[in-house]
Amino acid sequence: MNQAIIIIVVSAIGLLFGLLIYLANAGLPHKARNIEKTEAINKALPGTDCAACGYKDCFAYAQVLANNPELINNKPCSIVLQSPETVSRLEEALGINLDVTTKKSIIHCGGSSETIFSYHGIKSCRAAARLLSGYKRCPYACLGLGDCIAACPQGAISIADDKGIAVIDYEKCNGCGLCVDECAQNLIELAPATMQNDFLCNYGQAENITGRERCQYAQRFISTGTSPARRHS
Amino acid sequence: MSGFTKEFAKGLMTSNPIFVLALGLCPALATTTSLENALGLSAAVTFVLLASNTIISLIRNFIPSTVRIPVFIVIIAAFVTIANMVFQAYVPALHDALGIYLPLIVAYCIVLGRAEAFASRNTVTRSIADALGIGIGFTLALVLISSIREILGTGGISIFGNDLFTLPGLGDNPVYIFILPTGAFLVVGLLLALFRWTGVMKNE
Amino acid sequence: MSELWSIFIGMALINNIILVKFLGLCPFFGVSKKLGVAVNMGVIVTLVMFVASAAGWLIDNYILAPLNAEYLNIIMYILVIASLVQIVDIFLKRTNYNLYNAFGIYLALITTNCAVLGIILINNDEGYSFIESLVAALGAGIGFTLVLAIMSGIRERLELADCPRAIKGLPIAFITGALLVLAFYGFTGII
Repeated sequence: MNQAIIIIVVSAIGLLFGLLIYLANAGLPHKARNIEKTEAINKALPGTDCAACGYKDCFAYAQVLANNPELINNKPCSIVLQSPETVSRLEEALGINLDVTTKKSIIHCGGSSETIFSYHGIKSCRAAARLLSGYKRCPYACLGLGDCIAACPQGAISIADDKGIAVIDYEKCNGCGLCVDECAQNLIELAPATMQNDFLCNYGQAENITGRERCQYAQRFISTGTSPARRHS
Repeated sequence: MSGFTKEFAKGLMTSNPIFVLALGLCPALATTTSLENALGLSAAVTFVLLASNTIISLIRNFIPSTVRIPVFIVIIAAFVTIANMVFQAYVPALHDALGIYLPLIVAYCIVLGRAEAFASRNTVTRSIADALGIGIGFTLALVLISSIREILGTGGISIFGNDLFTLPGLGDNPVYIFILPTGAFLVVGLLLALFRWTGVMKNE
Repeated sequence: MSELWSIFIGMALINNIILVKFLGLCPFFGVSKKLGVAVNMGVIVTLVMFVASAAGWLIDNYILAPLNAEYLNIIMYILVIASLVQIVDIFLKRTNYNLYNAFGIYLALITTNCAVLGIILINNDEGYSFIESLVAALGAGIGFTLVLAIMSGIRERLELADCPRAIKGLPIAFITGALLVLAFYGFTGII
């Protein structure tokens, strides 16, 4: 008889807990709006949390996109744009069409400027640029100390040893643009992927350079009569 | 039959629960102060593994997927209660020495982990083989750790009140730290590093 | 009052639930790579310990004891813990989805966390009263959080250190644990 009571009581307690869980599941509403849509969008995003889109991580971006899908074309996810399958998956999750013009970064320096003193300071372009506008003759030259290299999540930038400037491997660059803000000399530009790959010197943009010679790149553009502005293919 | 021995051997070496999977570390550190405790606990764990793996793989097709974890836990808890009561009846000294670590078997990752990862997806014979392999692998690992700790920490080994042997030098001046919690962490950490360095337990 | 205080300090520092009782080692070595996540984990485990201790004591004294069914206590405790963790899981998923995502699988693993079941069994073994059980659970939880926070801070630094390949990862974490235990021995004189 005692055994029967024990079995009944223990089963009742088990059922009680089950009821509590059921009530919690049914009773608590989702505080986040559109939780299913957020999860679906999050699955379609790459999940690398590189923050190139401007948001802290992929999940934060998914939460914003669940409420404003059209934002995807103002702040595109460049990793998704790399292949058609990822593009169509994200389009399906969002319900709108993506603008698929891919971009790439271009470093506007040819590296012909020679060094005028040897720099032994902090190994960062931002620091070197503050010291007399850099250790090269051209005050706008790429200093090659690697701030952009650290910023690139794809590892697409490296230093060309002969010229001491940064060069981009276009197999790896997906146009996220994180290097653009990092360059202390403002040499990097995010351009459409169809643009030509020349190392174009920005030096010609500067108007009043007194007491310093122009680097060979700028010189070549000026002597051939072409404008130092960018050429489109 | 080769499937049986394959699973069995896997539990011993390449899926050794303590040194490769790193599950079941709680008892490996807590109950290895003496060889006797280690043997007692690993016997209990092997029994629980065998029984729960068998039952779970027998009824695996009848459990709905959403409630499977609570069902597994309750089945394991039942067998742990049985083991606890058996120990209390037949070896009360060992039961007192093990204290709370005997009922805690229900919470060891190794038991629930094998039930979830293996027994709920495989036939009964293979589950039994896996349970035996993991149980004996666990026993061997615990015996290794506890022998080292007891020999260095008390100078010798004694089982069930009989002194098996006592090392002459260490017997008078044992290294007490090996019996203390610090020694547990040290011995297991260094053993893990040793096995990784020699690559003994890997499939390479 | 001093009795409660000594239980609290005993559980939190002297008989620290991770370093001395060896309970809760799985999250100790698994979760503790980032400080923020480790502290959040510790807080949730403390909450689960507290409520589970209360429920466990009530069930033990008011339901199992009158029926002479104390042998069922293991099953009852694990039922309480599993249900509680499931409710916390649902609650967290609905109210703070970011935190829920940060925990990942470790939230469900609190069910098999030796520390939670361990503290209820310790309370049962020592025969604590209701208030004493609550205080012990609170102390154990705070000790757990403290050690988890310390360990995750150390492990963040260890990631950047230059270890031999065999020691990197789990073995060096164990050796760090050994040194932590030695450090905590300094607390034995407090009471």
